[in-house]
Amino acid sequence: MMKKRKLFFLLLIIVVIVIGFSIGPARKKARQHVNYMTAVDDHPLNCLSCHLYTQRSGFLAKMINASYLSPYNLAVAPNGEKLFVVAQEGNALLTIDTKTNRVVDKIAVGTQPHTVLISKDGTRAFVSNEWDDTVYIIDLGTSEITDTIKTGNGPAGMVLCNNETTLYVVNSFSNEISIFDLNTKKERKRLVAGNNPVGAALSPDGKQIYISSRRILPHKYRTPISIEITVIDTKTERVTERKILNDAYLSENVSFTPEGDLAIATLIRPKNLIPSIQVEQGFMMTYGIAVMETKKNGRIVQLLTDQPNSYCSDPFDIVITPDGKKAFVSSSGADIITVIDLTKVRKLLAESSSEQLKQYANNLGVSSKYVIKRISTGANPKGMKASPDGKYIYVAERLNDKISVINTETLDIERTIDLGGPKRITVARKGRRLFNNAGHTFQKQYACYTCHPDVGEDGLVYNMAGVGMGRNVTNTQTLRDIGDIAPYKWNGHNQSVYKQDGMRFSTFLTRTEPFAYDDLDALVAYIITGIKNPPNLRYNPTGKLTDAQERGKKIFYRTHTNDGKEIPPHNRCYTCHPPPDFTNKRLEDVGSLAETDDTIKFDTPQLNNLFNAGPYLHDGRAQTLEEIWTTYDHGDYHGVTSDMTKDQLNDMIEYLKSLRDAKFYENVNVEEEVKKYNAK
Amino acid sequence: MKHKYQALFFFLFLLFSVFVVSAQEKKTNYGNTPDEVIPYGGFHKAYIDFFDKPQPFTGAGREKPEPAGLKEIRIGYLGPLEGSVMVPQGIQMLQGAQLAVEEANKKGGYKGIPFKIMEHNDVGLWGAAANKVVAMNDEHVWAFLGSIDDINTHVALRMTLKLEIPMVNSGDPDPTLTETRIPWMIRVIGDDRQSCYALSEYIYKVKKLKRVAVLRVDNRYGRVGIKEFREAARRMNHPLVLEIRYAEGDTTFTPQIQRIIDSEPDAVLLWGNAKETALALKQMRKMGMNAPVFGSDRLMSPEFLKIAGKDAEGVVTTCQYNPNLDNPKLKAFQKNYKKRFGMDSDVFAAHAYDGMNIIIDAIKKAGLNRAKIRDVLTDMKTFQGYEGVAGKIIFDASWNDIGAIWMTEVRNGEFHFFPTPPFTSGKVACNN
Amino acid sequence: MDSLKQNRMKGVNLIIIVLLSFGLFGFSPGKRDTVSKKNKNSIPDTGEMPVYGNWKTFTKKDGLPADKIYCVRVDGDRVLVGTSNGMAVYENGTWKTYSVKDGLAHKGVLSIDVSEITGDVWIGTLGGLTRWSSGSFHTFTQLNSGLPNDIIYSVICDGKDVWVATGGGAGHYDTYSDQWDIYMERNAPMHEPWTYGVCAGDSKIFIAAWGGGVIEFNTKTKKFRDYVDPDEQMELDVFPDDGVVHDITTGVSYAKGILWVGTYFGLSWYDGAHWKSYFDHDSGLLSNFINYLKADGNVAWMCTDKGLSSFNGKTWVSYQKNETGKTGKIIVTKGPRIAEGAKTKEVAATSSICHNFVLGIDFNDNEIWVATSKGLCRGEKIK
Repeated sequence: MMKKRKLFFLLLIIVVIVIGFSIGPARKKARQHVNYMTAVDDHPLNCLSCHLYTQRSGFLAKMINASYLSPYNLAVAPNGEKLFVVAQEGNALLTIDTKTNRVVDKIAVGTQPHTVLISKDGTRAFVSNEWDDTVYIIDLGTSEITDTIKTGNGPAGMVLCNNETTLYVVNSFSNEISIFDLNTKKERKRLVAGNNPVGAALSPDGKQIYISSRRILPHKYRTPISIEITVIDTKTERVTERKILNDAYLSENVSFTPEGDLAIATLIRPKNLIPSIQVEQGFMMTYGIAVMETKKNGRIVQLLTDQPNSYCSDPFDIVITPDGKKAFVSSSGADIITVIDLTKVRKLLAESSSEQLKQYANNLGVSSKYVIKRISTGANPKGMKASPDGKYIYVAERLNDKISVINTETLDIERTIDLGGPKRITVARKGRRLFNNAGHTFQKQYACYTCHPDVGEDGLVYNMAGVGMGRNVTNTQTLRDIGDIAPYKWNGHNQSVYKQDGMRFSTFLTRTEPFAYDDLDALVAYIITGIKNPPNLRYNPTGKLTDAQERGKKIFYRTHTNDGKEIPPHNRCYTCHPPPDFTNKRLEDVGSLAETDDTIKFDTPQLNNLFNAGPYLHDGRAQTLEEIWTTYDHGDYHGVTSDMTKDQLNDMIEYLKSLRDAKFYENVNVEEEVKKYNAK
Repeated sequence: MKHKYQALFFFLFLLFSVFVVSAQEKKTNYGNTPDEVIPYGGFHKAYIDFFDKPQPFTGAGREKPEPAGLKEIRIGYLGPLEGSVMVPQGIQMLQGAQLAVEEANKKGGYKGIPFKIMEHNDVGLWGAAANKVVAMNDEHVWAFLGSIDDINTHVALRMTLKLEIPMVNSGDPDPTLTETRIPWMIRVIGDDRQSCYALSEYIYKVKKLKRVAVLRVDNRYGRVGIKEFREAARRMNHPLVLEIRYAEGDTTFTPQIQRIIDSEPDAVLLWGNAKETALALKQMRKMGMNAPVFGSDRLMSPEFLKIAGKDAEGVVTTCQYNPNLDNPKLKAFQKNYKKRFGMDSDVFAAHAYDGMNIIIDAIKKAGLNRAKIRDVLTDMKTFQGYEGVAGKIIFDASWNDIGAIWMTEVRNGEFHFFPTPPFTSGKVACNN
Repeated sequence: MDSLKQNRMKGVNLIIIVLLSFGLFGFSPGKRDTVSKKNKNSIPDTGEMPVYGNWKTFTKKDGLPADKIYCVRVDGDRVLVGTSNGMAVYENGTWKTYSVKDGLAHKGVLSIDVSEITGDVWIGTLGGLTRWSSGSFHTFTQLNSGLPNDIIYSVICDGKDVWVATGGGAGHYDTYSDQWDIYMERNAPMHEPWTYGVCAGDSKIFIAAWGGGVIEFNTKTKKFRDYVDPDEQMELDVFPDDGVVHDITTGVSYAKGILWVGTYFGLSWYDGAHWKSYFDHDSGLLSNFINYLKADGNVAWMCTDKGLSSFNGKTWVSYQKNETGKTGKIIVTKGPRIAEGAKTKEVAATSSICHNFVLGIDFNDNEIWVATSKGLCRGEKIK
């Protein structure tokens, strides 16, 4: 009886709401609300698009969303009979029978697995769990995890060498390579890699390992950028060379030719020093490969995979066929696999002068000399592997939950393997596909993902030219966990993600038609539904602060300077950066205004997971957290720090590095913290 | 025949040596230490005395030729110019140095090339004084003057050996500054060791007081400055009845004063900056503590008189010079300084003027070569007995100025200067 | 002045004059034996102490960027040299210089160490700490990182940890956690944060603290202890062998369970239980003014302002350049101290260290490299 009554009232409320919003003043209010939130006056009045599909927790969120597998990287058994697929969202290692094209095993692994390796005898798998800081060693006979190896932060690419007695693990967040003795399972040493290293490849002779990296190296502000390919000697286990790829970033993977004379890495060439008006001229972001001669003082030549007026955005993986004739590049933002004829590349290298080779890096037409096909795939192709006999290339279609199989002779997709993920495409999944696809940008120049890799930020400073070119340069901001921290943009002009990604977005960024409203709603739903930050395992794995972090927290919440003077409330750390998001969501002046800035105040950024979000400040002028205060705060505008001793500043920064996702601070009472940390 | 010449030579050598020894000034104990307060004097002769002779500099550098084509001869200044309570003193020091340079330039500078002061503030964060010495090295200064704060001066001093830059200190009385054996610095101002000995002699011998309590600032100036007084007091058989500290910037001193009252001292010695010690004195008098008060050199300032008011009456301090001396050089300096800068000179200006003049003279004598400038500064001859506006400079073997300092007593709201009392011999009362 | 002591000084000077006169007539009752012509060039038996000779000098003329050499570090087949004008690398018989334009924090290079694990070179300069890793330079400064101060007097690698001695405190950088710790007067038993030397050994870090003696940090227990001059006086040392000879310490080195402490006032030796002091007047130490020291096995090398001394607890072997020319001498003192019966013998050498103001040293199996105020020199083991 009670249930029936409840149901009746619920239906009544729904009817009232529907009628209310269909006619009368409620509709007017709703229209005003939607207009305000979207900054347009013709967005459909659809409550569900905003208030249902952006649900982040609870029953409704579960109902409207789905758990996808998202295959990311893969490996092939030495005999070619099995395919092992890392399901990034499914947190699983899937085993596929390549004859039946069926998933025959699913082994639960750690969080956000990145890479899988298979031992030569096919009995063991090694899976790096990027968000757990572990590598699992799995007995493929029993599907049991036999060993868990503790790594550095963010294990990604791996290499087995020295008769499989040594395992190299790329720690992508802590910028190192860990070397493990597999007999003892003990870490032998760590070597410094580039910034955000990810992919690793062993040379055919087993003597060298190349490590690609994504984020740029420290450089002088507003000057050309570069990234590093780290070269390791497997005998001495030392870095022997740091190859620099100029004007490039986001090198996801690297691969050797069978002869070992060339190593080829994927890359992106951003033009972040020029105003974004350039998008309309094309050539804002270009994509390609770095061909590196492995001999001493070998050349490094950058070649584009793009075509004039059509770009192959976001290259991820590169696979070279066992015969060394073809290279396959997964252009994940264009949903294509770019096929490169390496014989033609070699010919080009042999015939071209050094000056010509330099120019090729900026020549969109040159790809016609070596790109022999662009094969369309399902959504967001990522990791690839060749079958041992070289007949097939397996491609992980991340946002399609499928593996496509390319015939290396015909260069067609011969078949597709369904991994068994959810069949329906949720609104957020649709948004995610849009986010990762460059199709909505002028000439498909870039996707949202390009500047927001992994939905974070790319560490570059851009001039989003709106009114004045060269003015208002801004540092890319993360899109992770931003649902609750409006306004958006550094100048705080956007009150919602709808506005941010709507008309203005097309005007300044995509330079083409704005998203259709259902696409915009899907994109917003994806962003708002909460894209988690990676766990802060490096600086705060358990929530228990170190002594230095605890001392730093006391400074963060301090109300008086070292000599007892009261700090004005507006100039205390916690005033503008209160938990849980560590932002007051207001515009503030921290003395960072540059001559080229229009506004005097900037949106207070959130501080969650800021440890790896450099550079800092609105225009990215501070390369490290220290520089915010030591170099760019003259006069205690950005909090009071001038009285601090060096160890106090260090402590405060250690505390800031410890900050995790907002969810960990939801119950923090600022007043109590202030009281606690200022008690005598 | 050969032996005859040897014997003759030996006789002449002997005769000459006796003559030289007789003609020398009598040797004093290290740092003018009275016999009575020599460390371990009543217990054991030291296995080794470290400062019985100057430390030579045996490194290279003297062979470097003088550079040609210079447009200016750069001399560094390192002192508090902003961001410190010592800025007024830093400005006095800079102005004293500027006056010396301007006068030297009027006389033709160095071979017609003007001297130029390269100013550096030593108050930057985190050991910045040493970084400033690196900056001065990059600017190619030939020597530098600095500083006042003992911490900043020490870290700067450490750099002088690495970079081989001569340093003249005219404002830091930290006794340990010249006790590091770095042979690149001389000091031209009396140190706290001299102040401590003068105060201990005056308090215990002249005034015959016995129970002294010390209220000092809790920083290096207070800790290191008072050390020699504490030890002298112990060795004179009057160990301190209390040594209590306050934090720099404190404005109330009630708990400390109550403890001083409870210790029933015959006298109180204040060691700190003018502001805090003046406030402490006022509160002391208000709380009924009427014992005589003595103080370190930093009390000798108008700020102390202004804050302490009538309570300052009778306070006795030390001072590294006497501005009222009837010394024509001093009078001329004071007159020129006031004319140039529109203010009266103080102790830091006077010593900086002397220090900069010594640097200028050393450059003129040695030429543009840092090692040779160092040699002249430290040869114990060229500037030994230098008659500066702040008095006669007498170096001991650590290049510390052990020349005369002065004492002052506040009478009718003014400082009255008088010489330090001569050390009287007393019975060694303590083993260490 | 009332405290003058004319009469006493007269007496002292007369004694000196008499002693000098004895010297003029060929008497030599002092600590050093006169070398007879017969065995003038024969080096006495030095036991386990190595002896070096056949010195070769390198200066700007040979390709170094400056003649003032602050430090030297042997790294396998190459030699890394810190000068006042950049870091020079000697490899395959040629010199190559790296300076600010290459990525070095400052041209003045005071200290260099090499990580045994990674091979990375850590370079302490006058303007920050630079990590040189396979051709790539990365600089830590007090403004862009947790580095205590930009002037790095000493840098060492201890496993994954890097330690620096600066005037702003001793800095510890954990290369795994990317965290800096600063040890200074507020969290360690120092009076001031002035640290000028650091070394590692047996899970301990030893820090030479200017005015604070030696600070020991146990990396396992994270506890500190300090070693200071027991007499608490700057101007004298009351007793030898009672502790570190002076609180102004300039360098520390630890090997085979022995801590060697250099000061500008003499040398200290500590075996964990007992201290010993060595001065120039009572032992084979060439000078009390020790710029730098380094222990290698049982032998410690003292870089002084009057030459290079080595000592293994039993025998001293020192190297000194003659005032003119390229010749020098080897001075062997058998026995730790004169009071313990030490005898000294000088042997003329046709080649010598390039300058007596010695600032740094390092060695490999058969060679020794010496950094001096004027040039770098290499000696070969001859005994």
